[in-house]
Amino acid sequence: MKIISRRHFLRDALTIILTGASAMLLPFIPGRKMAAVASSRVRPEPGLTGYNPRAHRYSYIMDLHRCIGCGSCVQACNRENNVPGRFFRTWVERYQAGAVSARASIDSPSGGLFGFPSATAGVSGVSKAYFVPKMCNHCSEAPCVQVCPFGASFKSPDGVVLVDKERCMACGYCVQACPYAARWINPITRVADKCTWCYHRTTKGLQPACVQACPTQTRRFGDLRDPYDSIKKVLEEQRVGVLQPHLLTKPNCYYLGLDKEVR
Amino acid sequence: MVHTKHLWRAILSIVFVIVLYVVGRVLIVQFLYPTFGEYGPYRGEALREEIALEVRHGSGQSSCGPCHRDKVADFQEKAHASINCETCHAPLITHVQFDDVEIFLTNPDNFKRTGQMEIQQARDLCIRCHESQPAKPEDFPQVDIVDHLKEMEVENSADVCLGCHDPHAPSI
Repeated sequence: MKIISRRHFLRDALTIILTGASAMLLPFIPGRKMAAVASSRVRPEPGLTGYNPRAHRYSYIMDLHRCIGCGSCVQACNRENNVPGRFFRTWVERYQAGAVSARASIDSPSGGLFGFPSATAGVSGVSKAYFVPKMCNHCSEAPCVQVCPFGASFKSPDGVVLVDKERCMACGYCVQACPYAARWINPITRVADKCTWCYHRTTKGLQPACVQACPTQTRRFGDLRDPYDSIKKVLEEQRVGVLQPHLLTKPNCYYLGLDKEVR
Repeated sequence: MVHTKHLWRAILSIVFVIVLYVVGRVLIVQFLYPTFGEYGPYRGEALREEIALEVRHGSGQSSCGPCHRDKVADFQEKAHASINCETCHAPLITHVQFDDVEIFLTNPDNFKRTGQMEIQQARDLCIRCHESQPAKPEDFPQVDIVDHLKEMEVENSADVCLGCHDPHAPSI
């Protein structure tokens, strides 16, 4: 093997590396389409809806002190979003805890769609019981957005994690990645599906179907960019928790009255 | 270095691949995904597609009020006043055809009736919320249905609750 001097090796290696690295400058050539990608400052035309996603930042509160497990939210969501049979965009779990050291018993019959039966076989000595409604948390550092190989899972400027139905290939990686089990592959549309905070409603000033259906104001939805928003006050003044905080996903769904047993 | 031809070939191949990728990507993004990058690294059109989905539920009592003024007025100040009509009935779209923006205009002339709104009479609807359970908050009105009916000396039937309670003014 020919011996190369250190100087020559460095010279050649740097030449190759810098030549390749200069390709990274290409997006910044002004006037090219890729400049738009790099700067992400393309202003949308007023377009179809006149809705500006950058002017909003949505957030959600679940007040676990109030949930009665009626399942109205699950029913409303299913009706609003064409959710097929055995899947859920949102669901309700019931926790029944007895001894402090024992794990709580958790059940969710049909996701709470028809309410909960009062008698639960095999559970006794219950000293603490409550309902926990769950859904996609629209995390600020969403694992599902990170892992999508096709870029179909994305987070909109107003804080909602959505699925691009044209680019989704239903590989299921996002379904695996979500720690809250909020995603699933829709057998009818054949793409990944999940709670969208009823984006088609909230962008028109309506509330998500689940929030509207809840009879006890357990579920509350709001816009943190709106100075008069009521849930903004709650988040600033009351003690809230999130599901699985140790995973550092930064969920945007905040729980009041969260217990240690909630998984 | 004496023999450098092989190095130049290597460099050129790498550069060629890079240029091919860049040009190909620019062309593909420009033609197949023109809205890419509008709000972020995804199709801006995907956002609009999501917005354009069909709205099925109305906006609560403010949607029902314009036509059913008396019902909604009776409803206020009663125990169920905070509940959305569609929770116990059915989504608005089963009853009227509406362009969702019109909800806010709350002008009954903009709504076109398409069908009968479902009216629930079954006891099971009431039980879902009001059957007593340890998991429900203590301050929520709940009864053990069997005990309640025994106390009231009423026979159980499919719509037994309606015999005494009016869902729009449920307290007795």
